[in-house]
Amino acid sequence: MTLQERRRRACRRVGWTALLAWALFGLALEAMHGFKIGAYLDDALARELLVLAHAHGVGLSLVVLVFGEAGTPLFDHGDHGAMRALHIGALIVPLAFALSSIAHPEGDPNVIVWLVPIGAVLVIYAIARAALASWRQGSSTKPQDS
Amino acid sequence: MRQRLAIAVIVLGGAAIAGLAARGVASDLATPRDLHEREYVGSGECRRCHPVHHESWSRTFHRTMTQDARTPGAVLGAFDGRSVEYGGITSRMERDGERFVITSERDGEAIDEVEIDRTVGSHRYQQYLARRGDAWWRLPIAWDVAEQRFVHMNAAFLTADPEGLEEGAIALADHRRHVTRWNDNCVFCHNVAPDPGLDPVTQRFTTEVAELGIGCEACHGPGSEHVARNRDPLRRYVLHGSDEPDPTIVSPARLDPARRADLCGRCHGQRITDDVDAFLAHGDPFVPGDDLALYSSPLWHDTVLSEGTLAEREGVFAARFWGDGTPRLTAYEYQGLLQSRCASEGALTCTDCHGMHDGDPRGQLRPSVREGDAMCAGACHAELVDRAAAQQHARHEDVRCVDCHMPRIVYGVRDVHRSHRIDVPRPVEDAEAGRADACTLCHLERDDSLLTTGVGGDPVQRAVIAAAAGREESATPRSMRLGALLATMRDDSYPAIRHLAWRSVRALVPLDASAFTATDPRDARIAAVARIEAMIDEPIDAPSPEQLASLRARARDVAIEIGE
Repeated sequence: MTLQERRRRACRRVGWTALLAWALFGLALEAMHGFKIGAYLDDALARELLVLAHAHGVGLSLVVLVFGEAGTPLFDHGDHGAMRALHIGALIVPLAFALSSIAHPEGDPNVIVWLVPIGAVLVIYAIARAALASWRQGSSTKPQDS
Repeated sequence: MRQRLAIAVIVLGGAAIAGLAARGVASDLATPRDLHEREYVGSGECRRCHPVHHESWSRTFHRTMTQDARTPGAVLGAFDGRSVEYGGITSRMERDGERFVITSERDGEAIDEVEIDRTVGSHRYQQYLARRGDAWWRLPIAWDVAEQRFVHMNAAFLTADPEGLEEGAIALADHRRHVTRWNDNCVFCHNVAPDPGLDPVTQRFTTEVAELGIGCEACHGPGSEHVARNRDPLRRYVLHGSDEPDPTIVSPARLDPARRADLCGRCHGQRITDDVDAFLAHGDPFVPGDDLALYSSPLWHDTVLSEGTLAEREGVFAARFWGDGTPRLTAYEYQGLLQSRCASEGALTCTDCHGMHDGDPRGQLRPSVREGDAMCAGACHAELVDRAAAQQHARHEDVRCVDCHMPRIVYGVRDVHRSHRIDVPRPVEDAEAGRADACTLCHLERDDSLLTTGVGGDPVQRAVIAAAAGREESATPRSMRLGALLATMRDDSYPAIRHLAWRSVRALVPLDASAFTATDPRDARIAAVARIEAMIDEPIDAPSPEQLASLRARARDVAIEIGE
């Protein structure tokens, strides 16, 4: 198995697993709405954080899957940690949103929320690396295409 | 290698920046502030960071103490064309789109037409303000929230019927007896940061308040710097993780008991200042956390005014207190607390019993206080935690600490409330002070108390007894209470007392509030009471005419122009 295939497989495993987890999480949120669970509905900030966790979890899982299919071919010689950064960031951002809703002070998430920007930086780093690689690849293949 | 070095530089740089920022925050938090010169921002600003506290405050009657009449839902009264007739003057309440209008006329001749501009109160009754130029004036008609009908303000104060009521022709001055200017009266206690802005030369007002009603900053102080500084998330999280106070705002819970009481006493303790002109020109300089005594002194029964002849200066406030100096009107709760050993020796303060953000908005009693005696027994009187010991102490099975030590002997806002002077009932001394004691309030039949103080006492005594006679816990026979209450409704010369008697009758026998109007002339009242007697299907032990005449001859009519 080539390096590229191993990366693609890793992205598929992480992406689909995370997507399943955050989809189930969303189902749990809907159930709490449906059954009018006070602990969820009465705390507007906690609710917002949990919704953000669900949205970011699902969204970033899709980004990981897309990265596996369309991103890994961009890195022929090594991704300089882009894939690892994306996987860690995609894990940290939604998890930090969710955990920061627990026992939070009035008006603010708890201190775990400070992990969100760190995770976001890792995700953006990975996307930036992919963007850069796509431009580089485009430049190097141009003479062959013509 | 280069990559790891870059990561290390980024991490160390970030840590250094965060460390420096945290140090700046720590230094900022350690710097004391003088809140007197700060700007107010309004309760809406507080909501973003304190949604739970904002929501709990929103439920209180503090929030709706003063409102713009155009605010949806502010006007509680039924401005649907109904009218109130009092002493020959008919006031009609109507709504014209967004405008709430009261028109007054006598014998078909218009007296005035005023538009409601602001409302004051929303709990027991709602008063209305109309604007005339630079001033707002309280109108003679208010809305009784409990009874859902309009009442004349003469039935809210402890004042006797005006001349001409029986003939249906009172003077216009009596109709407007309690029409007072908001700018230099109500404004001080019913709003945030009141500033009457009275020009000493032109005598004109440029009255401003930071917020109508009792908003967050009334208790927490001006919040502009607090809001600005806490836009910094690092500052907020340093505060979240520490027990240190934020010097840009006042947290009443962190004040010592005396300063906490001062905060409430500003409005719940009638005060007097030596520099009235400065108050009227620039407002009350007090901000939460201040020593109230720096700017004003509480009124006592022997307070002497600084201006006027000796006769004008002395005894001005005596009628507001019982003979032993115990306050007997509302808005003197601060004085009552100061007189209590629980405060002077036990550090009790207002917020021990009252929670501004929890409990029932009616009284804002903390749940632990409302439900039992844990406040007293759990704090200083541990020997009474045991229920049997408490019953032996009280010599009653079903009484609570407050029933004996905070009896309902205070008149205000068309009701009778608990005394905030926490003391020991001493029936003999209390009787000498002309004050109903806790024992009498339940045992109205003893020593003929129901009749002597209920009919023949002074106005506050009569009001206190009229209210006590309707209470469930009263040990006095119902027939005797009904008889005395109906006699009071017929014959007492104070509409406020007749109202309380009628309310007590309805507590004993369910009847419609509209069956009796306390401000009606005596003939109408006699007819109404006769109809009510016919509706009461139980014995009524009416006092004999001779007994009543004798007692009425002993009644003292003291005009107490406050107590609303």
